Amino acid sequence: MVSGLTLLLTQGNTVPVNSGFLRGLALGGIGPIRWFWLVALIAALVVGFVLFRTRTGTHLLATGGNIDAARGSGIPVSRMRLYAYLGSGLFCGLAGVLLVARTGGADPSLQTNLLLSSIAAVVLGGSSLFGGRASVLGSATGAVLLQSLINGFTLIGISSTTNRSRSAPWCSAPPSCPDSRNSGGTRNA
Amino acid sequence: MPEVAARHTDPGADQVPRGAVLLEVRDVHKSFDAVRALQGVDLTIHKGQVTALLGDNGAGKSTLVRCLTGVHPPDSGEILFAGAPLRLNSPDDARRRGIETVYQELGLIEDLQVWQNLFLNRELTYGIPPVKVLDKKRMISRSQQILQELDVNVPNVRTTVRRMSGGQRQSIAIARAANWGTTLVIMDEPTAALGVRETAAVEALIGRLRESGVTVLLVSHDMAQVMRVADSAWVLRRGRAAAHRRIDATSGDELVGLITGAIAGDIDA
Repeated sequence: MVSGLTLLLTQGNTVPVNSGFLRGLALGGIGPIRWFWLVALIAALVVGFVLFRTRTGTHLLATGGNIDAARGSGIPVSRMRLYAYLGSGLFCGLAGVLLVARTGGADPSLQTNLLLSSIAAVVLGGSSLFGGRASVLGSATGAVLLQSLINGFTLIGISSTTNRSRSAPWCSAPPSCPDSRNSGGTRNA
Repeated sequence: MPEVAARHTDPGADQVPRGAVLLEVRDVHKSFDAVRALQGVDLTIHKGQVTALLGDNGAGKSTLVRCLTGVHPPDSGEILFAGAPLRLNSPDDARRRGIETVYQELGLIEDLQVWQNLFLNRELTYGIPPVKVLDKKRMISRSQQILQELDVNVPNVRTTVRRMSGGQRQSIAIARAANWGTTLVIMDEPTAALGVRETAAVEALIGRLRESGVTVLLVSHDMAQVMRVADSAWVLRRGRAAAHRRIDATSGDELVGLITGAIAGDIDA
């Protein structure tokens, strides 16, 4: 629904965004470390802290792992799902802003590529598509790995269609891997 | 939601001496549209004893258990808990009175560790709200203590439940209920899916619970188990408590007869 709205609003064209702040965000940084890395690091730390060091985090993991058992324990599962969607939306919004900063415009056609890649990255990192298991470090590693792969393909000149067909198998492989143990949780943004 | 970190003891229930009546169900009726699940159940549960609840499918055992655990209130009749009327509006109310249940599905989260499951929704935290950090160290050591007290064979509380055997999972679920269920622990077919050795281990655990004064309501189809583990048995038939027998004054065959109706119960005149 949101992607439909986006297409409607932009008429399918890229909307250029001229913002000094965003440009500074994309190009600047502290020393050799660009802002983007810092933002990603802080986001990862916050999510890791909430998921694995707070009560709400445990309840989120429980709701994702076994919703009936969680409900039976008195955990407010509807509220937990709300938090999960809220958190996901928040970080997606953040990622969106960073993306606009990086590309200098809002491109509605980027959404399909990134959607699949982001799910692939999280699953590669050990989180479960069915909920109950999550790993912040895993998702971060998966994201870096996948992005390096895509960048590598671009560098050596492989076309984007082959590119997509190569990252697709990564999406289907992990669910077939049994018992890849990590810590637990619900899906990251 | 109120902090449920401490063990809830019901002061009324604590006053009841061991062996005396803890829970009394009086003429309880419960219907679901056209189905009359409970048609006037009268039974009593004594403190510190293992009471078995028997009955064929459809006799009303699950419905009665749900009334006792706050899932739904009875349509009519009374439930007296330590002499006072018990009015439960939700499972949380039951938990707050120290009534815990071990369901057949166990209610464990597989990808969480043993200590996380033991403290599920009762996590110990430190810090100032809204930032409350989990007190992992305390929870882990307390979990080790709980399992040690009940002699449960779980070598490391930091392993996930997924890696535990059926008997271990069952023991963890029972240990959790026994730890927080200071007044009444209800078990629904606790060894239904277990092998012989694991069943023996769980039955030994139930015995240790009884020794430490925990009141247990055991719903079971296994007559031999009931004869081994329980102190007395109530037989439900078609929504009524057909009979009550002390285990040392009955046999497995008599209980089966009472369940099926082959033997006339106390209420059949």
